Amino acid sequence: MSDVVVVGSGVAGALVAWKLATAGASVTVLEAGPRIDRDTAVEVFRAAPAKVPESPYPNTAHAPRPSVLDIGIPGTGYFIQAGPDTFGSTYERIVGGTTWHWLGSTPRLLPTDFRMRSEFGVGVDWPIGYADLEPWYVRAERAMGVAGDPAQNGGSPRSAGFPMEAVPGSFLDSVVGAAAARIGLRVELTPQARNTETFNDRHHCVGNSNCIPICPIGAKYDALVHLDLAEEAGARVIANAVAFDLVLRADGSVSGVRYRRPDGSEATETGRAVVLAANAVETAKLLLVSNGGNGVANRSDQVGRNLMDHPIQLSWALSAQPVFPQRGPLSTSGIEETREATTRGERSAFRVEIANDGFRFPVGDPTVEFTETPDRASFVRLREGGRPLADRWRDHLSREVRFASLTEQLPDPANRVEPAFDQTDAIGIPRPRISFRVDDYVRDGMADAKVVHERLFEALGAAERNHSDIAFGAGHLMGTTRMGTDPATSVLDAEGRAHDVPNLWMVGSGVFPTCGTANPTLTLAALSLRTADALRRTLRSLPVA
Amino acid sequence: MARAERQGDPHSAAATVDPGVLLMLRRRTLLAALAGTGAAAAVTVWRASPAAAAVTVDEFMELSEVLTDKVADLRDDVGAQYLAFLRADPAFAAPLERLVAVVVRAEDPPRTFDELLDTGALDDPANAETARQVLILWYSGLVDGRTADYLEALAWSSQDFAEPASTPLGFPKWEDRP
Repeated sequence: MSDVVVVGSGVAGALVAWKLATAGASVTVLEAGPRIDRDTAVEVFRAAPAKVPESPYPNTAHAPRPSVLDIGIPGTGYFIQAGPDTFGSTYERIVGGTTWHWLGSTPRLLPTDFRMRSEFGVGVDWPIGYADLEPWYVRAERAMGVAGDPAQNGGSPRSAGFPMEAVPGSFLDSVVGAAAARIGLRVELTPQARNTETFNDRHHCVGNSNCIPICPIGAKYDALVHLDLAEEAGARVIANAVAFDLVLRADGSVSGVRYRRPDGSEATETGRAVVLAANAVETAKLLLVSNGGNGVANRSDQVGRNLMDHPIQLSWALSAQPVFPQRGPLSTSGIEETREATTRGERSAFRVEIANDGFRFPVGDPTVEFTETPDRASFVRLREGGRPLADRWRDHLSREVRFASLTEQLPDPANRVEPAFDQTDAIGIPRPRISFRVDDYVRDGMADAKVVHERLFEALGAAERNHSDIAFGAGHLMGTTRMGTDPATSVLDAEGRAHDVPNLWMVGSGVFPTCGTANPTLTLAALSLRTADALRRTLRSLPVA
Repeated sequence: MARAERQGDPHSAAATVDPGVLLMLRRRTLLAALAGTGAAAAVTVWRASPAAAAVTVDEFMELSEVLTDKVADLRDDVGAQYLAFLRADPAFAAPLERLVAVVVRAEDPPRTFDELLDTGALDDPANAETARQVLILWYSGLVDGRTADYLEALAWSSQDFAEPASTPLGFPKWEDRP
C-alpha cells in the first residue's frame, strides 16, 4: 500500500508524484503502457514510412491508443467515434505519456479565459482566477524549464521572469513577422519548455526540428524529468499496469485502484488518496467504468462531458521569398493578440501558431512529398531530374510556410466520453466512445483565422495557398472532469478534489472548465502543482487504506 | 553462384527477396543474390535478347548517379533495394534495362541528366516514367511502403540548409538566413 496512488505517468501525474514523494509520502504511479527507450524510439521513427506523432511509440494490445493515421477512418482505430464530427486528437499510453510527442509551447491562459461567463456570456467561469494560478504558473515554469522573453508576455501578466533565456525566433519568424507588421499584426516569441542552456540535466536545444514526434536529445521537457526525480525520492512507477476500477469503501471514499496486466492478471494498489492523471479521455473512462459500471464521483452527471479541444484551422503556402524552414524547434513564434478578439462571446478567438516544420503537418515529411497518392502527384515531374530537380526542390522546400490557429471550443455537455461496454480492448476493458461536435462558435472562429492566414499569405506574396476544411485536433484533451464551486454542475472542487469522494483527486487538462486558446500543458502543470500542494496538506488527515 | 544457375530458375521472383536480408549480405554475395532472383520480366528480356544481362547494382548505381546528377551520395545497399523493387515490376523492369543500355553499356554514354535527355532515351514514355520512379525512390527513401533510407533520402540530403528530422546534431542557430 502507498500513501498516494497516481494513475497516469504523463506530466500531471509525474509532477504530483514528484511533489508528494519529495515531501515524504509513499507514492505509487500506475502507467498503462510500457517504458520507452529514447534511442530505440528515434530508430523506430526513422524507419516508419509515415512520420506522424505516434510513429516512434508502441500501440500495445493492453494499452491501445488512437493514431492520426486511423482516427478519421470510420470503424478503425481505438476510439469509437459516435459523431457527428470526428474527435481528431490522440495521445500516448507509455511511461511519460504524451509529453514524448508534445510540441513544448507553454503560453499561459489569459486573465479573461477564467471568466468566460462573466466577460462574454458563454461557457462557465472557473472557480479560480488568473491571480490565484499565477504563482503556480511561476513554479511550473521553473520546474519544467521554460525559456521565454519576459518583455513579451502574450497578454498574461507575470510576477517573475523565465528560468531560461528565450528560444530564438527562426529566420522564418522574422520574415513572417515583417509581413505581419505590414498588416498590423504582431508576431511574438512563444514561451516554451525547451532548454536554451543545460537544465534538469538535459542538453540545450539544437533545433533539429522534430519536437513532434520525438526530440532525439531530450532538450524539450517531458514527464520523465519528474518521474525520475520522483523515483529517486522513493516513488514506485509500475509500467504495464492498466487501471480499470476504483475500489470504494462503504463510506464512499476510495481505498485503491485495481489494475490489469498484459497477461490478464490483476492486482490492487491501495492508498490513503488516489490521484487520477490519465488524461481527459482515460480518466473519464476509468471513473465511468468503476463501481460496477455505475461510475464514481459522478453525482453531477458531468464526468466525461464537456470534452473540448482547440480545433485547428490549418493553412499552408509557398512564401515569395525563402524562409528556410526545417530548422529550429517546430514552432518558435505566434500571434497572440487574436486571442482577445473583440468578437469573443459570439465566435471563438484563436491563437496563431507559426511553424518551422514546413508542410510536415498538412502534407507530410519532405520525403513524403515525393511519393504519390490518389490525391497528390509526386514532386518529381516526368522527364525532370538531375541538378534542375534538386534546384526546384530547394526553391520549394525553402519557401514552405504553415500556420495553425487554435480555436477555443466551449464546454458542451453533449461532447462526451463514455465507456463502450460492448466494445472492449484486448484485455477486456471498454474502449472510449466519443460524441463530438464542432459547433458554429468554433467554425466561425476558424473562418476568422482563415482570413488572418490569407492576409498573412498575401503580405508574404505567397503562392499555392491552401486552407484545410478539416477541423484538425490539436492533441489537447480537456474538460471531462471539470472544476467548479457547485457540486451539481462540476466534478471537482477548486483544488482538484472530487466533490463526491473526499480522497479522490484529479489533475490534467480534464479539470479545465473552459479551455481558452493557450496550449494547455503549462496550465495543467500549474494546476497539478497546486493540487499536489493541497493534497500534501490534507494527506495526514486521511485514513490509511 | 554460376551464371547457368542464375538463369535456370525464372520462378524465384525478386518479390520473394527480403530486403533486410539483402542488407546483411556482403556486396559480392548481394550482386549474385539479386541476379539469381531476377524478376520474371527480366528473364523474359533475357530470352528475347540473349546478349542482354540483368541490371546489376553497380549499373543501377551508375544510372542513378546520372539521373540525380550526384547531388548527394547514394548508398549501394539502398540502391540494391530499389533495384529489386523495380525489377519485380513488369512496368519498370524492361525500361530499366533500356536505360542502363543507354547510360551504362553504351559507348560515350551521357554523364548528366540533361545529356540523357539529349539522347532521346526519355522520349519513350515507359523509359521516362521509369527514370521518374528511380528519382522518386531516391528522393523519398521509401520503397513499396517501407523506409529503405530516411537520413540520406535525397529529399533531405540534396539540400544544404536542412538536416533530416531527428538528427541529434541539429544546428548551432536558426535565426539567420542559412
